Amino acid sequence: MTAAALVLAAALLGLLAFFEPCTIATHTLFSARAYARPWPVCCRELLALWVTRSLLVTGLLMVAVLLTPPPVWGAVLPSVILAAMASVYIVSRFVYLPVPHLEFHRLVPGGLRLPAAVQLGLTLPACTLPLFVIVFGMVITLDSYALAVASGLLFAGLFTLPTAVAAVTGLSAGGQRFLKASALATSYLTAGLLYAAAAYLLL
Amino acid sequence: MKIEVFSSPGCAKCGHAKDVLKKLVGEVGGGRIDWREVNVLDEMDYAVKLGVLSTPAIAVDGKLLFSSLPSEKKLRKLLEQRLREQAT
Repeated sequence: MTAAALVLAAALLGLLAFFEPCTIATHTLFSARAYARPWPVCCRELLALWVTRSLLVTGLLMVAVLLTPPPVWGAVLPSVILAAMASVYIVSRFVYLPVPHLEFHRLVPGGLRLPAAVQLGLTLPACTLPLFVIVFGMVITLDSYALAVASGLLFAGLFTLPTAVAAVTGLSAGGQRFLKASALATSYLTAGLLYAAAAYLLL
Repeated sequence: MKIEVFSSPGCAKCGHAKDVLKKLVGEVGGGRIDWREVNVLDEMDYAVKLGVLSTPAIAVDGKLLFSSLPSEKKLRKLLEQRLREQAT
Protein backbone atom coordinates (compact mmCIF):
# COMPACT_ATOMS: atom_id res chain seq x y z
CA MET A 1 0.00 0.00 0.00
CA THR A 2 1.46 3.34 -1.03
CA ALA A 3 0.50 6.98 -0.63
CA ALA A 4 0.10 7.23 -4.40
CA ALA A 5 -2.42 4.38 -4.39
CA LEU A 6 -4.42 6.11 -1.66
CA VAL A 7 -4.44 9.44 -3.50
CA LEU A 8 -5.49 7.78 -6.75
CA ALA A 9 -8.21 5.74 -5.01
CA ALA A 10 -9.57 8.76 -3.11
CA ALA A 11 -9.85 10.81 -6.32
CA LEU A 12 -11.38 7.99 -8.40
CA LEU A 13 -13.82 6.84 -5.71
CA GLY A 14 -14.82 10.44 -4.93
CA LEU A 15 -15.72 11.03 -8.58
CA LEU A 16 -17.51 7.69 -8.77
CA ALA A 17 -19.55 8.62 -5.66
CA PHE A 18 -21.32 11.40 -7.60
CA PHE A 19 -22.49 8.98 -10.29
CA GLU A 20 -23.93 6.34 -7.94
CA PRO A 21 -27.70 5.97 -8.39
CA CYS A 22 -28.62 7.09 -4.87
CA THR A 23 -26.51 10.24 -5.25
CA ILE A 24 -26.91 11.44 -8.80
CA ALA A 25 -30.53 12.64 -8.59
CA THR A 26 -30.05 14.52 -5.31
CA HIS A 27 -26.97 16.31 -6.58
CA THR A 28 -28.45 17.02 -10.01
CA LEU A 29 -31.51 18.57 -8.37
CA PHE A 30 -29.20 20.63 -6.16
CA SER A 31 -27.32 21.80 -9.27
CA ALA A 32 -30.52 22.70 -11.09
CA ARG A 33 -31.72 24.78 -8.13
CA ALA A 34 -28.36 26.48 -7.76
CA TYR A 35 -28.18 27.22 -11.52
CA ALA A 36 -31.58 28.94 -11.37
CA ARG A 37 -30.45 31.26 -8.59
CA PRO A 38 -28.46 34.50 -8.81
CA TRP A 39 -24.73 33.98 -9.26
CA PRO A 40 -23.66 34.96 -5.69
CA VAL A 41 -26.28 32.64 -4.14
CA CYS A 42 -25.24 29.80 -6.44
CA CYS A 43 -21.57 30.28 -5.46
CA ARG A 44 -22.40 30.44 -1.77
CA GLU A 45 -24.38 27.19 -1.93
CA LEU A 46 -21.66 25.37 -3.84
CA LEU A 47 -19.05 26.64 -1.43
CA ALA A 48 -21.14 25.53 1.55
CA LEU A 49 -21.55 22.05 0.03
CA TRP A 50 -17.86 21.67 -0.78
CA VAL A 51 -16.55 23.04 2.54
CA THR A 52 -19.02 21.05 4.66
CA ARG A 53 -18.33 17.81 2.81
CA SER A 54 -14.56 18.38 2.97
CA LEU A 55 -14.72 19.02 6.71
CA LEU A 56 -16.86 15.94 7.30
CA VAL A 57 -14.79 13.52 5.22
CA THR A 58 -11.43 14.89 6.35
CA GLY A 59 -12.58 14.98 9.97
CA LEU A 60 -13.79 11.38 9.89
CA LEU A 61 -10.52 10.21 8.35
CA MET A 62 -8.42 12.13 10.88
CA VAL A 63 -10.41 10.71 13.79
CA ALA A 64 -9.92 7.26 12.27
CA VAL A 65 -6.15 7.73 12.20
CA LEU A 66 -6.23 9.03 15.77
CA LEU A 67 -8.33 6.21 17.22
CA THR A 68 -7.50 3.17 15.08
CA PRO A 69 -4.20 1.34 15.21
CA PRO A 70 -2.89 0.39 11.75
CA PRO A 71 -4.55 -2.95 10.95
CA VAL A 72 -2.78 -6.02 9.62
CA TRP A 73 -4.97 -7.17 6.76
CA GLY A 74 -3.26 -10.36 5.68
CA ALA A 75 -3.05 -11.58 2.09
CA VAL A 76 -6.67 -12.43 1.41
CA LEU A 77 -8.93 -10.29 3.61
CA PRO A 78 -8.80 -7.07 1.49
CA SER A 79 -9.81 -9.05 -1.61
CA VAL A 80 -12.66 -10.73 0.27
CA ILE A 81 -13.94 -7.36 1.53
CA LEU A 82 -13.72 -5.75 -1.93
CA ALA A 83 -15.46 -8.70 -3.58
CA ALA A 84 -18.22 -8.61 -0.95
CA MET A 85 -18.72 -4.88 -1.55
CA ALA A 86 -18.83 -5.46 -5.32
CA SER A 87 -21.47 -8.14 -4.84
CA VAL A 88 -23.61 -5.74 -2.79
CA TYR A 89 -23.55 -3.25 -5.69
CA ILE A 90 -24.79 -5.98 -8.05
CA VAL A 91 -27.44 -7.33 -5.67
CA SER A 92 -28.74 -3.82 -4.94
CA ARG A 93 -29.71 -3.49 -8.63
CA PHE A 94 -32.27 -6.24 -8.18
CA VAL A 95 -33.23 -6.19 -4.50
CA TYR A 96 -34.03 -3.20 -2.29
CA LEU A 97 -31.49 -3.13 0.54
CA PRO A 98 -32.72 -0.81 3.31
CA VAL A 99 -29.34 0.78 4.06
CA PRO A 100 -29.86 4.33 5.38
CA HIS A 101 -27.87 7.38 4.33
CA LEU A 102 -25.52 8.57 7.09
CA GLU A 103 -26.97 11.99 7.85
CA PHE A 104 -24.54 13.60 10.26
CA HIS A 105 -26.59 16.82 10.45
CA ARG A 106 -29.15 14.84 12.47
CA LEU A 107 -26.53 14.62 15.23
CA VAL A 108 -26.32 18.41 15.44
CA PRO A 109 -28.97 20.26 17.50
CA GLY A 110 -31.20 22.04 14.97
CA GLY A 111 -29.46 20.16 12.17
CA LEU A 112 -32.68 19.74 10.18
CA ARG A 113 -32.96 23.53 9.97
CA LEU A 114 -29.50 23.91 8.43
CA PRO A 115 -29.36 25.06 4.78
CA ALA A 116 -29.90 22.29 2.24
CA ALA A 117 -26.31 22.66 0.99
CA VAL A 118 -24.93 22.03 4.47
CA GLN A 119 -27.28 19.09 5.07
CA LEU A 120 -26.21 17.58 1.75
CA GLY A 121 -22.56 18.12 2.63
CA LEU A 122 -23.06 16.39 5.96
CA THR A 123 -24.64 13.32 4.36
CA LEU A 124 -22.85 10.21 3.15
CA PRO A 125 -25.39 8.53 0.85
CA ALA A 126 -25.85 4.78 1.34
CA CYS A 127 -24.41 3.76 -2.02
CA THR A 128 -21.24 5.78 -1.45
CA LEU A 129 -20.51 4.18 1.94
CA PRO A 130 -18.44 1.28 0.54
CA LEU A 131 -16.38 3.77 -1.48
CA PHE A 132 -15.70 5.85 1.63
CA VAL A 133 -14.94 2.69 3.64
CA ILE A 134 -12.24 1.76 1.12
CA VAL A 135 -10.56 5.16 1.53
CA PHE A 136 -11.04 4.82 5.29
CA GLY A 137 -9.32 1.42 5.31
CA MET A 138 -6.41 2.69 3.24
CA VAL A 139 -5.96 5.76 5.45
CA ILE A 140 -5.83 3.80 8.71
CA THR A 141 -3.39 1.38 7.11
CA LEU A 142 -1.01 4.18 6.14
CA ASP A 143 -1.62 5.86 9.52
CA SER A 144 -0.81 9.42 8.43
CA TYR A 145 -2.70 12.63 9.27
CA ALA A 146 -1.31 14.34 6.18
CA LEU A 147 -2.62 11.56 3.95
CA ALA A 148 -5.95 11.58 5.79
CA VAL A 149 -6.33 15.28 4.97
CA ALA A 150 -5.13 14.91 1.37
CA SER A 151 -7.36 11.94 0.61
CA GLY A 152 -10.34 13.51 2.41
CA LEU A 153 -10.02 16.70 0.37
CA LEU A 154 -9.66 14.74 -2.85
CA PHE A 155 -12.63 12.47 -2.15
CA ALA A 156 -14.85 15.39 -1.14
CA GLY A 157 -13.62 17.63 -3.94
CA LEU A 158 -14.10 15.12 -6.73
CA PHE A 159 -17.48 14.06 -5.28
CA THR A 160 -18.60 17.71 -5.44
CA LEU A 161 -16.97 18.71 -8.74
CA PRO A 162 -19.66 17.42 -11.17
CA THR A 163 -22.33 19.18 -9.06
CA ALA A 164 -20.38 22.44 -9.30
CA VAL A 165 -19.92 22.10 -13.06
CA ALA A 166 -23.65 21.44 -13.60
CA ALA A 167 -24.60 24.34 -11.30
CA VAL A 168 -22.37 26.78 -13.17
CA THR A 169 -22.96 25.68 -16.77
CA GLY A 170 -26.49 24.29 -16.49
CA LEU A 171 -27.49 20.86 -17.69
CA SER A 172 -28.07 20.33 -21.42
CA ALA A 173 -30.32 17.62 -22.84
CA GLY A 174 -27.18 15.66 -23.67
CA GLY A 175 -25.98 16.04 -20.10
CA GLN A 176 -29.29 14.73 -18.79
CA ARG A 177 -29.06 11.71 -21.11
CA PHE A 178 -25.52 11.07 -19.90
CA LEU A 179 -26.59 11.23 -16.25
CA LYS A 180 -29.50 8.85 -16.86
CA ALA A 181 -27.19 6.35 -18.51
CA SER A 182 -24.64 6.83 -15.70
CA ALA A 183 -27.22 6.19 -12.99
CA LEU A 184 -28.08 2.85 -14.58
CA ALA A 185 -24.51 1.78 -15.35
CA THR A 186 -22.43 3.05 -12.43
CA SER A 187 -23.29 0.25 -10.01
CA TYR A 188 -22.00 -2.30 -12.52
CA LEU A 189 -18.91 -0.18 -13.23
CA THR A 190 -18.22 0.13 -9.50
CA ALA A 191 -18.68 -3.61 -8.99
CA GLY A 192 -16.35 -4.33 -11.92
CA LEU A 193 -13.68 -2.03 -10.52
CA LEU A 194 -13.95 -3.59 -7.05
CA TYR A 195 -13.76 -7.14 -8.44
CA ALA A 196 -10.72 -6.11 -10.52
CA ALA A 197 -9.04 -4.55 -7.47
CA ALA A 198 -9.81 -7.69 -5.43
CA ALA A 199 -8.24 -9.90 -8.10
CA TYR A 200 -5.23 -7.59 -8.44
CA LEU A 201 -4.55 -7.72 -4.68
CA LEU A 202 -4.53 -11.50 -4.78
CA LEU A 203 -1.81 -11.57 -7.46
CA MET B 1 -56.49 12.44 -5.93
CA LYS B 2 -53.30 12.69 -7.98
CA ILE B 3 -50.08 11.23 -6.59
CA GLU B 4 -46.65 11.65 -8.10
CA VAL B 5 -43.64 9.57 -7.09
CA PHE B 6 -40.38 11.30 -7.94
CA SER B 7 -37.75 8.76 -8.83
CA SER B 8 -34.45 8.47 -10.64
CA PRO B 9 -32.91 5.76 -12.82
CA GLY B 10 -31.28 2.96 -10.87
CA CYS B 11 -32.80 4.10 -7.55
CA ALA B 12 -33.73 0.88 -5.73
CA LYS B 13 -35.45 2.79 -2.94
CA CYS B 14 -37.69 4.44 -5.57
CA GLY B 15 -38.72 1.00 -6.81
CA HIS B 16 -39.64 0.09 -3.24
CA ALA B 17 -41.63 3.33 -2.89
CA LYS B 18 -43.57 2.53 -6.07
CA ASP B 19 -44.33 -0.99 -4.84
CA VAL B 20 -45.65 0.35 -1.52
CA LEU B 21 -47.71 3.02 -3.24
CA LYS B 22 -49.13 0.59 -5.79
CA LYS B 23 -50.20 -1.71 -2.96
CA LEU B 24 -51.81 1.10 -0.95
CA VAL B 25 -53.59 2.56 -3.97
CA GLY B 26 -55.07 -0.90 -4.57
CA GLU B 27 -56.10 -1.30 -0.94
CA VAL B 28 -57.48 2.12 -0.04
CA GLY B 29 -57.88 3.96 -3.35
CA GLY B 30 -61.04 2.33 -4.69
CA GLY B 31 -60.36 3.88 -8.11
CA ARG B 32 -60.15 7.39 -6.67
CA ILE B 33 -56.37 7.72 -6.85
CA ASP B 34 -54.33 8.36 -9.99
CA TRP B 35 -50.61 8.01 -9.67
CA ARG B 36 -47.63 8.41 -11.92
CA GLU B 37 -43.89 8.13 -11.72
CA VAL B 38 -41.85 11.27 -12.40
CA ASN B 39 -38.25 10.70 -13.46
CA VAL B 40 -36.48 13.75 -12.03
CA LEU B 41 -33.83 13.63 -14.76
CA ASP B 42 -36.60 13.90 -17.39
CA GLU B 43 -38.72 16.49 -15.59
CA MET B 44 -36.11 18.34 -13.63
CA ASP B 45 -37.74 21.77 -13.83
CA TYR B 46 -41.00 20.39 -12.47
CA ALA B 47 -39.18 18.57 -9.65
CA VAL B 48 -37.25 21.72 -8.72
CA LYS B 49 -40.48 23.78 -8.85
CA LEU B 50 -42.11 21.44 -6.32
CA GLY B 51 -39.04 21.57 -4.08
CA VAL B 52 -37.93 17.97 -4.52
CA LEU B 53 -34.51 17.55 -2.91
CA SER B 54 -33.99 13.82 -3.19
CA THR B 55 -35.58 10.65 -4.47
CA PRO B 56 -37.93 9.03 -3.77
CA ALA B 57 -40.25 11.91 -2.93
CA ILE B 58 -44.03 11.97 -3.05
CA ALA B 59 -46.34 14.79 -4.07
CA VAL B 60 -50.10 14.74 -3.65
CA ASP B 61 -52.25 17.00 -5.82
CA GLY B 62 -49.22 19.01 -6.89
CA LYS B 63 -47.81 19.56 -3.41
CA LEU B 64 -44.68 17.89 -2.11
CA LEU B 65 -45.72 16.05 1.05
CA PHE B 66 -42.87 13.58 1.55
CA SER B 67 -39.32 14.60 0.72
CA SER B 68 -38.10 11.08 1.51
CA LEU B 69 -39.61 7.62 1.64
CA PRO B 70 -42.34 7.56 4.33
CA SER B 71 -43.29 4.44 6.23
CA GLU B 72 -46.17 2.45 4.77
CA LYS B 73 -48.22 3.27 7.87
CA LYS B 74 -47.67 7.00 7.47
CA LEU B 75 -48.50 6.94 3.77
CA ARG B 76 -51.63 4.86 4.34
CA LYS B 77 -52.80 7.31 7.01
CA LEU B 78 -52.29 10.26 4.68
CA LEU B 79 -54.12 8.63 1.79
CA GLU B 80 -57.07 7.63 3.97
CA GLN B 81 -57.25 11.12 5.48
CA ARG B 82 -57.15 12.79 2.06
CA LEU B 83 -59.83 10.49 0.67
CA ARG B 84 -62.05 11.23 3.68
CA GLU B 85 -61.56 14.97 3.16
CA GLN B 86 -62.44 14.68 -0.51
CA ALA B 87 -65.55 12.67 0.27
CA THR B 88 -66.94 15.31 2.65
